[in-house]
Amino acid sequence: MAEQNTVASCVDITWLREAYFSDPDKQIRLEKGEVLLRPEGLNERLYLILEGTLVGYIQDDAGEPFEIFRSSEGTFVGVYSYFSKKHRSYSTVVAEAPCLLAYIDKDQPTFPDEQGRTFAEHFLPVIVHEIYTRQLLTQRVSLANQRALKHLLRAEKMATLGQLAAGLAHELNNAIGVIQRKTEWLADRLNEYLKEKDTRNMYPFFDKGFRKGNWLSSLEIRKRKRELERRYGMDPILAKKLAKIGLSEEEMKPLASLSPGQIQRINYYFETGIAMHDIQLAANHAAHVVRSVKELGAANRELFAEVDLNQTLHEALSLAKKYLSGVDVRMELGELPPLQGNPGDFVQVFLNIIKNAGESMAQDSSRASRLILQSAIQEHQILVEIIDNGPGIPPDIKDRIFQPNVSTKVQGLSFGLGLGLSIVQRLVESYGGHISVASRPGRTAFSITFPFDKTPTPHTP
Amino acid sequence: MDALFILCIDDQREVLDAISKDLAPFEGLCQIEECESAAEAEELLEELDAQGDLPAVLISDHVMPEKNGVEFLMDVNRDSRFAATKKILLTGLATHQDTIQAINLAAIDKYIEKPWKVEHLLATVRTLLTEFVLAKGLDYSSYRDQLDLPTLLAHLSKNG
Repeated sequence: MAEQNTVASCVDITWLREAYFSDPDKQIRLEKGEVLLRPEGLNERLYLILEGTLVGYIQDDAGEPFEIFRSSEGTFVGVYSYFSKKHRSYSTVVAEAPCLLAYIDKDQPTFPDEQGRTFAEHFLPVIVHEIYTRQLLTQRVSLANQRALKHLLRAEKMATLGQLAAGLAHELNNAIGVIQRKTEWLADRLNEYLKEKDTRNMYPFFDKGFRKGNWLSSLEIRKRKRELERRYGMDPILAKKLAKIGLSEEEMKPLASLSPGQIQRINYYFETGIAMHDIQLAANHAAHVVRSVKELGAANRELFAEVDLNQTLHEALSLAKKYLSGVDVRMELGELPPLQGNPGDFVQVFLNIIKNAGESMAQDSSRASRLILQSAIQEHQILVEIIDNGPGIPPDIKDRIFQPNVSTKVQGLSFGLGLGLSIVQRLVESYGGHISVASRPGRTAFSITFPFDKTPTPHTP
Repeated sequence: MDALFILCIDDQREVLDAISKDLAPFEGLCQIEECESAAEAEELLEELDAQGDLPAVLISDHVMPEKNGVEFLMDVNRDSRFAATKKILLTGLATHQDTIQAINLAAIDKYIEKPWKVEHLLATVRTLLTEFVLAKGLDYSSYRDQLDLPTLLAHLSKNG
């Protein structure tokens, strides 16, 4: 407790001290840990602390000591029991450090000061101050309780969500696994079959679709389609079907004279290839998302592996996808040495920052949202930077964003996996890393550095 | 040339491809065009208009980089040249607020949720296409198979 409200600092006790508490015969010394008062114990003295600190406790419901006050030099102790008729203490008062106390007894004769002010008049401010201090303490305790409760609720919610996510991930994993494997199998069989039965030289079109998917942009397809219409007088619908394949001019020439039925057939083969390609792509993507969620759920488990930070950035990005709709994401990833650690930790760190960035950018529709993820080696450290062009962190909370319970969220629902930047910072620091932020409207950059061992042998004797 | 066009707009190529494949039954009646952004679609609309072609139905994704689907349809809605063009918003993630905005400001004709059902998409497009053909007073006799019969009949009975 830094700001001790000692009575001396607020109330003038000079006269009281000299008139009543200056008798050297009425002083006692307490060693550290010595008990001055006990609950219901008789106390007929009023003590003034000359040196040291005394702490008052009561027992809580569980019988545990609960601190109710802490008094140091210049403070009175035993006020309640001295002035109440019963002369019983309600708390245990223990010396926290060696103490020197002066005291008066209950039969202490009182006398006024030179101006005629009585003992009671002098003592009233002390009592008022005492009441005020206790009340302040109660308020603080109740506020702290409220905060703790909030934290607890949030932690519980997070835990529930985590379990839910892990359960969901497990269930989906099986389903996606089947889709992934069977698609692969089906694609292989189809590939073999078409290759084997290919009497009309159609296999290459399937193969191309399967390998490349929809590899041309709609703009490019339209350009090629118009070219085909113009050059060969082709029907627009057929022209589009051929244009999609993206054939070179040489490949195109012999096809131009084909009948609509034959072009249709080429298109079927190509589209079948694309369908297999897209299914596989989607299954892989789904599997990737599930794996990321699972890894996040396993974050608390000890799992040390070689971590590729770029990989974890990718995973965080795919998990944060729903916060990034409409965002132009740019990855500028350099080659990085592996780190030792739990991949989930890093995913969690990046996910939090990316998610915050996404939510921040969504609040500002005045510019097209852009997120840049960079990684590089800098001065024997790995540097990861996550830069968004959102409205920035409000200046009044900028210095506190790594503290718990500080939110930049102005509006909207927020539950997700948001574990807060305080946890991000804790995780980063647990790897000997450092996180900092520079923010102004239009550019917020989180910089995270991790040290890496240039000698990859951790086995020191 | 006054050919009919259906424009599909979606920034995700696989999705765009899937929509346009599903619309294949209309190929005899209109051309199906794919655009990966609102800007591309706007450019194409200009071209079609310049050639005297008719953009009959727009099917736009909602969440896209740069200009989103609602903003795009809103702009189209303000353009008197495309007053009769039918607008469908295809969306996977819509809040209440988005929906209100889409209907009030973009005057969309239909709202379709992702993932869509082919039959539903086809039926919706067929009805809107029929309405467009009738509104433009085009000769529909040769396309009757691809148009929506109830809409046609309702139109006939109303106009004698």
